[in-house]
Amino acid sequence: MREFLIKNGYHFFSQTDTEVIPNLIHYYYTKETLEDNKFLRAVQAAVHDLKGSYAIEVISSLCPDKMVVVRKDSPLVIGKGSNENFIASDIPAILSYTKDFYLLDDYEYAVITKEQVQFFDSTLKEHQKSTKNIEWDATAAEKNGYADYMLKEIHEQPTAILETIGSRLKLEEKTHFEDLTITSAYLQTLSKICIVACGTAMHAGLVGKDAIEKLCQIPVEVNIASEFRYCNPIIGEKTLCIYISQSGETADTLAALKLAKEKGAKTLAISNVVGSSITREADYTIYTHAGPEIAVASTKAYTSQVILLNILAIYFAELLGSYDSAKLEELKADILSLPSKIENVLHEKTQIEEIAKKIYTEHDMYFIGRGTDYHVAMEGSLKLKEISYIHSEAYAAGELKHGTIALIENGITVVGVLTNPVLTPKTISNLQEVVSRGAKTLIVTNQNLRNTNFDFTISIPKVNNLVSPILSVIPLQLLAYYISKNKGLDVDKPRNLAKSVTVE
Amino acid sequence: MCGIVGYVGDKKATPILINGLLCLEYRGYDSAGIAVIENSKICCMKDKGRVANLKAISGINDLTSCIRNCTY
Repeated sequence: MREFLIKNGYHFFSQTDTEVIPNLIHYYYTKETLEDNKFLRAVQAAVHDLKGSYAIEVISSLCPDKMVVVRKDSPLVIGKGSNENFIASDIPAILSYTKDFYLLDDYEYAVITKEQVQFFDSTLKEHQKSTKNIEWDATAAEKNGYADYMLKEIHEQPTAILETIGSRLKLEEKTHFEDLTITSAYLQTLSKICIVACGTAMHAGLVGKDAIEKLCQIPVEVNIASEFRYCNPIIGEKTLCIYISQSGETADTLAALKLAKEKGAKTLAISNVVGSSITREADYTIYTHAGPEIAVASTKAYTSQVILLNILAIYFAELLGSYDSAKLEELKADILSLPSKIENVLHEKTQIEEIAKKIYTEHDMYFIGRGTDYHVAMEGSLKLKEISYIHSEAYAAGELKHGTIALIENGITVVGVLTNPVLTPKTISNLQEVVSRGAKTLIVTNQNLRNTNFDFTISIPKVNNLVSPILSVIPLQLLAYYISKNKGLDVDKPRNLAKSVTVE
Repeated sequence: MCGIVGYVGDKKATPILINGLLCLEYRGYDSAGIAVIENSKICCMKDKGRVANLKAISGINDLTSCIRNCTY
């Protein structure tokens, strides 16, 4: 395309693909004979030649009063103002000016002047579109006195959990989701459930697997989206595929969702952003109500996803009658107690801040646990890597002796998560093995550990093991945060990372 | 990974665009720039690195145009 344009007399100043687009539009503009909507027609002709994902806004000195926008797979929203209009890649960028948004579809064009927004389909046929009101508070996207977004978002977890529970789950009532009508007959046809996600959302999926399998007795696989989409997964009508993405724009997750639809599986999206791409592709959508998450390292979105997956598992279990209803009530009571218990854990932050001062110069750290605690260890390790740049790995505690223990030497820090009474003695014996090899140990636990020689112990409230990650992850989030602060790093914007991974 | 902000209206747009870009900074931040229509000509300003660098370009706040496109 670049060569074609150069042959036609265009000059390029950079190697970027982006530079091709305005030149291509200009080329088509000069070829366009119809005066009616000439600018839009030129943009459409150019977009027709483009491959890949994009969100494009075009302005021209020839039409100084308008902007033309179009997108494919990359997010773009239009904010409606009074005698002014906005566009942005994400809602928080313009949330302080308007709460009325148009959500643009793939290949849909909008021509925007200060007075109006006109919509056209890919063949430039005009159509009407209505706005969506976004309930987020503009101040929710500000720091509100916290040093960093991440610290603020860690502290918002009680509210995020409360909002996500909403009216969906109540004691002695059937759990329900608005807009989600899954029948017991459909659930009974399922041979498995696949949870597909990337990064932290995938870690939430692992906790969700534990809940769904225990409560519903349906086998659950957790897949990394970028692997799932290329492994020719064995899925079909008897599979329900659940996709988790905070932004709802994760490129690999979106592609994996489209693949499942082609293969005849039903798809359910879990997202934090109303109207985001995965929610528009999926058969069913349920939302976390965590509010805008700005820090690159996810905290409140993770715990909201974990709680939502647990509520979903209870909803399925009630439909199927697959779990003792008295025990379900106990679990519900535990879930409803979480917001205040999270507050209790947050009160321990000075203790964690002190620990961080003692270990922030480490080069390697290991996180271990068993069962659900292992899944939390994975998330704790990822948080630390993301924002402190300390090398860290998470291992199922029983795997240590199959290799990793060779790396343990004097002074290495090992973090253990212990919330399952049945598995605690096992993990303790693994921890003793690393202590005897000179490791420093940091324990997050809700068990009464007697006669132990661990260096640091952080106690958290007791709660049903299925939802214990929501409490046990918080000290690990704070640990990563304070270590990063001690190292003088930019917590909210770690190097090389972006919030919404909209490229493969 | 990048983000765009656009504005059309009667207000002075530079602050709207720069604030919008700051909100989008989490999407990646190799470089930032804005393009505006000023006296029926497109005027473009850009810089490598974070949005703060862009904010510091002299003259950026003198732009009065109200139709702006901002990319980064």
